[in-house]
Amino acid sequence: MPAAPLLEIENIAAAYGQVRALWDVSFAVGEGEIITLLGANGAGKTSTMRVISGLLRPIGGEVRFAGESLRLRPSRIVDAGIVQIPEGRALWPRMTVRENLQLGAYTRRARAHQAESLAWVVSLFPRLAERLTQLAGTLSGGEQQMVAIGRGLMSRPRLLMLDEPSLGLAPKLVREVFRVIRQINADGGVTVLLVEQNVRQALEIAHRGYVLETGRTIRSGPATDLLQDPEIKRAFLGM
Amino acid sequence: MFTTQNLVSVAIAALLTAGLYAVMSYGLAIIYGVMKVINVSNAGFLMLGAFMTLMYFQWWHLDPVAGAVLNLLPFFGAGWLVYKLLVRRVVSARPIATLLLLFALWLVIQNVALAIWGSDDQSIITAYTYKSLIVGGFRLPLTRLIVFAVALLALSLLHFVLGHTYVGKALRATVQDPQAALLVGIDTERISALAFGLGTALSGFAGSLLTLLFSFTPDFGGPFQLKSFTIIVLGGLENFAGVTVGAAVLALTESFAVLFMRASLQNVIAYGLLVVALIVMPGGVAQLWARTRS
Ligand SMILES: Nc1ncnc2c1ncn2[C@@H]1O[C@H](COP(=O)(O)OP(=O)(O)OP(=O)(O)O)[C@@H](O)[C@H]1O
Ligand SMILES: [Mg+2]
Repeated sequence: MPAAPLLEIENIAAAYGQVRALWDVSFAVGEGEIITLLGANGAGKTSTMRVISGLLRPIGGEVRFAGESLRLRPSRIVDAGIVQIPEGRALWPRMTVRENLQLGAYTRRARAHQAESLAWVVSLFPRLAERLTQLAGTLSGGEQQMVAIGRGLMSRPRLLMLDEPSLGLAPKLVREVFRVIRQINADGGVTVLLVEQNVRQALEIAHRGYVLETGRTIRSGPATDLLQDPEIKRAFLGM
Repeated sequence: MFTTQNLVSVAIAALLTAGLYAVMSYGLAIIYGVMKVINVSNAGFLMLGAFMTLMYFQWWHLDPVAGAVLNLLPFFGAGWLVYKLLVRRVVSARPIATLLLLFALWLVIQNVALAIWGSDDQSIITAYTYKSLIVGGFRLPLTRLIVFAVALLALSLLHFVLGHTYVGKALRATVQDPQAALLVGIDTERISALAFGLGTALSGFAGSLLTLLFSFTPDFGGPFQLKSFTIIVLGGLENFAGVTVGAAVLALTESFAVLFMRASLQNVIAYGLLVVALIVMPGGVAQLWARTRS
C-alpha cells in the first residue's frame, strides 16, 4: 500500500435506527488503487459505502479522506471528491440522459469542467452519444448502468465507489463494465472502491481486497492472494 | 340553450379560468413533489396574498397585477422561513405531524387576518373591472383576459426555470429520487426550503390575481384549496405538466356542469371530482393516459 492512504476507515460502527449494521469496519484505500470489498448478503458492504458518502451517520469510528476527518453533509462530500454509484442505478427516469449527466456535475468545482467531463464519459461509453436526448427511464438496463457510472464521473471524483455495477447485466455487458472500471482507474487516475457479486472478476481487476462479515472486517490481502485462498474460493467463488 | 355559440363561450370561459387554477395549484405540486407533504397552509397564503393586494391598492393605488408581482419576494421569504423554522423540524416524523402543523398555521393566519381586517367582504374595483372585449362575437370580461395572460406568463416562466436552469433541474431530480440527488451533491435540504418558498410565492401571486375576479374575506382560501387538491390529484401529484392538465379538466367540468345544475352547486363538482380521481385514478390523468396507450 502507498505511504499515505487516500481514504482511511477506522473502527466504523453504524445502525439503522435500532438495527445495527456495522460493528467494526476498518480499511484503507491508497491513491490510485482499486479495492474490492467482499462479503455475503447483509455483511455491510452497502452500509459501509453509505457511511463514506454521508448518507448514513456512523455511531462510532472515523473516516479520513486525504488526511482530513470527513464529518460532512453528503453534498460537501461529493465536493471533496468522493462519489457513490448506488446499487440499482437510481437515475432520474423522467429526465433525459443529458440532464442526468449534467446534474452529475452539480458541484461548483465539477460544473466548471462540465463539457470536458461529458466528452470523457462519451468516450468511455460511445453508445451514450446517440442517447443523450432520450429519457433515462426508457433505456435498457445496461445503458442505465452506463449513465449511472457516467453521472458519477461527471463530479470528477478522486474516489469512485461502485455498488454492484454489473448486477442484472448480460455477460458481455458485465465484461464491458469491468473493462471501463479498469480504464477509469488506469487512464483517469481515479481511485476505486468496488463491491461486486462477480467476485472473481472483481479480484482480477483489483489491487487488494477486504472481507466483511456481519459488519466487521475480518480479512485483507492482495487480490492475487485472495484469489488463491481456499476459504475465499469456497465462500465466494463456488469452488 | 345549447347553441354552438353557447358551448364555445363556455369553453372559452373554462380555458380562461384554467390558467388561474394552474397557477394557484403549482406551488402545492412543487412542495408535494419535493417533500411529499400537502401544504394545507396554502389556503392561508392565498388569502393573505389577496389582502396584501388590497393594502397595496388602498395605500398606493397599486394595480392587483403589480400587487401579484410585488407579493413574490415577501411570500417567498415567508415560505422559506416556514420551512426553516417549522416544517424542517417535523417533516421526517410521520406525515400527519406536518399536515397538522400546516393546518394549524392556516388557522393562525386566518385568525390574524380576522383580527386585522374583520370578517367583512372586501373587493378591489379597478378602472377595468366592468369592461369587456368583444372578440369574434364573444363578450370576454377584461379581468378574466388579464388574469389568464398573467397566469400564462407566470407558468411559462416557471416552466423555463424548472426545465432549463441548474436549480430547476436539481429540484426535479429531488422530486424523482432524493437519494440520487444527495449522491451527486445536491443539497436537498436547501432545495426543500427553496420549494417551500417558491410554492408560497405562487400562493401569494395567485391570491392577488383572485382579487380581480372575486370578493374575499379571511375565510376565502378554503374552497380554492380544495380545487387545488383536485387539480394536483388529477395531474398525478408529482407531475408538473399534469397540473395544467388537471386545471383544464376541473375548469371544463365546472363550466359545463353549470349548464345542467345551479351555480351554487359548482363547488360540489370539485369535491366530487377529487373523490372520483382518488378512487379511480390515483396516479392522475397521466397514469390514465399511459394505461390507455400501453
Ligand atoms: N434501510 C435499512 N434499514 C434497516 N436495516 C438495514 C437497512 N439497510 C441495511 N440494513 C441492514 O444492515 C445490514 C447490512 O446491510 P447492507 O445492505 O450494508 O449489506 P450488503 O453487504 O450490502 O448486502 P447485499 O450483498 O445484500 O447488498 C443488514 O443486516 C441489513 O439487514
Ligand atoms: Mg449491498
